[in-house]
Amino acid sequence: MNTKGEAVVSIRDLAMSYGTHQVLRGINLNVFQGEIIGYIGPNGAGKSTTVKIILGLVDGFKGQVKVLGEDIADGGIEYKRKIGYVPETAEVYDTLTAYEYLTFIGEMYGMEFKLVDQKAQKLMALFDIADMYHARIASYSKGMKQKLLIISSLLHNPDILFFDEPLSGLDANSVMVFKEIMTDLAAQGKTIFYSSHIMDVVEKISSRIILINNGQIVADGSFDQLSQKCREGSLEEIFNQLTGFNRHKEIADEFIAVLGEA
Amino acid sequence: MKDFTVLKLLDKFSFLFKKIEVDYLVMRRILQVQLTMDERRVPTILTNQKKTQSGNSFKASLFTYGILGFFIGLLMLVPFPLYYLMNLAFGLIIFMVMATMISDFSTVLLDVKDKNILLPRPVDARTINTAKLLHIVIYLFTITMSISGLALLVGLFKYGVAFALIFMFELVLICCLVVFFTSILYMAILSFFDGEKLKDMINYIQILLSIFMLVGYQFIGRIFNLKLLTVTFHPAWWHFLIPTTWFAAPFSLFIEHNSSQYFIALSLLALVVPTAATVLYMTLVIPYFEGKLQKLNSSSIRANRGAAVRVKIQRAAANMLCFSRMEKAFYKFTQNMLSNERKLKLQLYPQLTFALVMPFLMLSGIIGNRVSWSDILVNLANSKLYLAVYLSAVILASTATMISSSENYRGAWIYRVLPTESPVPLLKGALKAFIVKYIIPIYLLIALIFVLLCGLKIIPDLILIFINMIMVLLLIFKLNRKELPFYRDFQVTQGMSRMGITLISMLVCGLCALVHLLLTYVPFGVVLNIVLSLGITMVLWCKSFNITWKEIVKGAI
Repeated sequence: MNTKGEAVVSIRDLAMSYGTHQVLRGINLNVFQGEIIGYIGPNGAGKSTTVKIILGLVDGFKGQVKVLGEDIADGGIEYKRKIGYVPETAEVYDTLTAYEYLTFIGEMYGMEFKLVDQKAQKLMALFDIADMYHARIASYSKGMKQKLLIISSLLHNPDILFFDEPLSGLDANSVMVFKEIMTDLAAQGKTIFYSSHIMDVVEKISSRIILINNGQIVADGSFDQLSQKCREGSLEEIFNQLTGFNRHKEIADEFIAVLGEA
Repeated sequence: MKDFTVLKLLDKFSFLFKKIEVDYLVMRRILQVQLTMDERRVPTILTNQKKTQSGNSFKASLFTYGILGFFIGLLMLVPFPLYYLMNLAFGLIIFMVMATMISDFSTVLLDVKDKNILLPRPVDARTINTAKLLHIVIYLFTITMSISGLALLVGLFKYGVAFALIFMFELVLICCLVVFFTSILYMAILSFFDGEKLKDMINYIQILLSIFMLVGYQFIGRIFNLKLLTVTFHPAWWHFLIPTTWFAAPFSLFIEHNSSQYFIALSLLALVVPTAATVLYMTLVIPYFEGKLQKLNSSSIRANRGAAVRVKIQRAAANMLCFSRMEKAFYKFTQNMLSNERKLKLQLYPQLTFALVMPFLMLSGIIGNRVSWSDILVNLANSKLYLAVYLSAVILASTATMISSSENYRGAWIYRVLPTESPVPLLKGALKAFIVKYIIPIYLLIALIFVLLCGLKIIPDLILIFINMIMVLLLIFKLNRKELPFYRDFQVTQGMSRMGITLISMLVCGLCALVHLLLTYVPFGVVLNIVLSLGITMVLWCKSFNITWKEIVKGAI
């Protein structure tokens, strides 16, 4: 579909195994500027592993991964300046305050302290947590922490974004704000990898959906293309069909039956 | 964020880091953040104290290390030959630094958080690793200085400036060596076992350290009563295998100008081995180690052969000791929690060990000067020294309140959700579980040793002491705030301070011991006392558990 210019991220024959367990079995993928990729798949399919490899968090993979033309196996770190990342189970230094943490992260990207401080404060205020700026992160609620993570991933105005369940814990209003932010970012020409289990959000927001199952890509295309091919009306149903799962009714019935056992 | 003095000092050496291709400014910033976070962390050596004002805890622990350093300083005053003296001093210092490294800095060494937060950012691995090593060394050096500060001063006055310079320099080398050895040790453990096993082992080493500190203080006074033997010294090949000889040799070489080949060779080792270790650490160990660290958060589930039997025994015990279903459930729950709570064990085990050795420390003080073993045994058998078991009772009785602390205290919301009318079965089950799991085994062990020493005739006395101990335990339970098991974090202030609990325990146990002693002079006095104590204990048991939910202290959930 969107084939303008060079691929922002290109993955060739990516394979990865932990011990004897093979997580990725040959992923091939080209991602272009301005795409919002809905990256979906069942638990343990290899979604997070792919993202972690691209970010250099996991070593020992086979195949080639290029980000902005730079082969990540070369050990360079420059490409990371262009990346923002919100992990699913995020670790933060939670004995620090948001002020301390965000300025620290900003400076890791080589930003001026004053500039980060200003930007961080403004962004916190826009997310309605300005009063928490000088509070320790350990005292944050789940939603506040998520907002902090989102801010910390965007502070340096990156070109490629990896969001893994970024909405978890956010209230409905903040979700609307964040979806809008993503659409605008993509319109600006930024590329977004959006990984989630909430299918209707993925369906609405993604310009291209990639479904991964058992370490392989089993579907790749826009939502319309996928629904035509599978003759299903919703992404949830497409997901069920492509991952070969149709027993949800039976399992639920059995579950209820077990509950009733005296 | 404050600018640390160490960092300013480090700035002077920034050219060195640039030379090994480390991004100095980024590394400095990472270190600054790490040091700030450390100020907000509580070290092991202090976890027994309830006061944890942020910022001061590290300095307070330095003070505790300083006390230890005081003894090493005193040691330096002993007129031993310098080489021998330095061997002793470095032996103690290396042991302490190694133990501290394992107990307080394992978290830093094994931290994968750093990697997860920093690696997605444009920071290269070399900078992160150098920051990590420096972070550990800065702290180890501070602690090492507080342990060996006095020894340094004593040496300075006794042997001059050269001593101080060599000493300081060697301390840095020792820190590097310790970091290297510890990571090798962890690497070996991680190669064979999973992360949970490693955490267990670290926990045991922490427990050992606490026990060493606790029991060590009792012994240190005695060391100086030893007659000073004249030490003769012959070089031997195996000396080269003991690290303390490397570090002690330069003192002989430079201060006593004892330039035999033996000392020169050893002094070279002192320089070469730590340097080589650091280079090896940076180039080989770290990359391999970081790879292994991924294993840290994994735990392989292995079917435990002993587990099935244990579950059966546990269930049988629960059925025998507890009456309601709820109580049984809590009995089992408490026992399972107790076996898995690392932090709780860290506080509990040293206390239990202390309870175990206390009567014998006391005895060795009393009978220290007797001539032969058979004399001692005869003397023991005819004395009333078995009353020393009350010392164990004092400590054991006061440990039971510890079950309200837990590292997983946030899980306690579950108690409030349960449809239970009264908290009594919860508390009863938990208390019974604790007594069966820890107090009874330790007591039986003490009793066994005393029966071996004093003969079978003290068995009624031991039974009496046990009943009295349970009585005191219940009394403390009744007087203390009513708290559910595993209900609060360790640092939260308790209803009664540990000090207060121990005082009450001491007072009542002392009183019991006195009554016990007096009644031994009366025919059937001990039997009478057993009946009496048993009666009081039963009444206390019924009275103490007259609790409603309203009286239970709410946790900070």
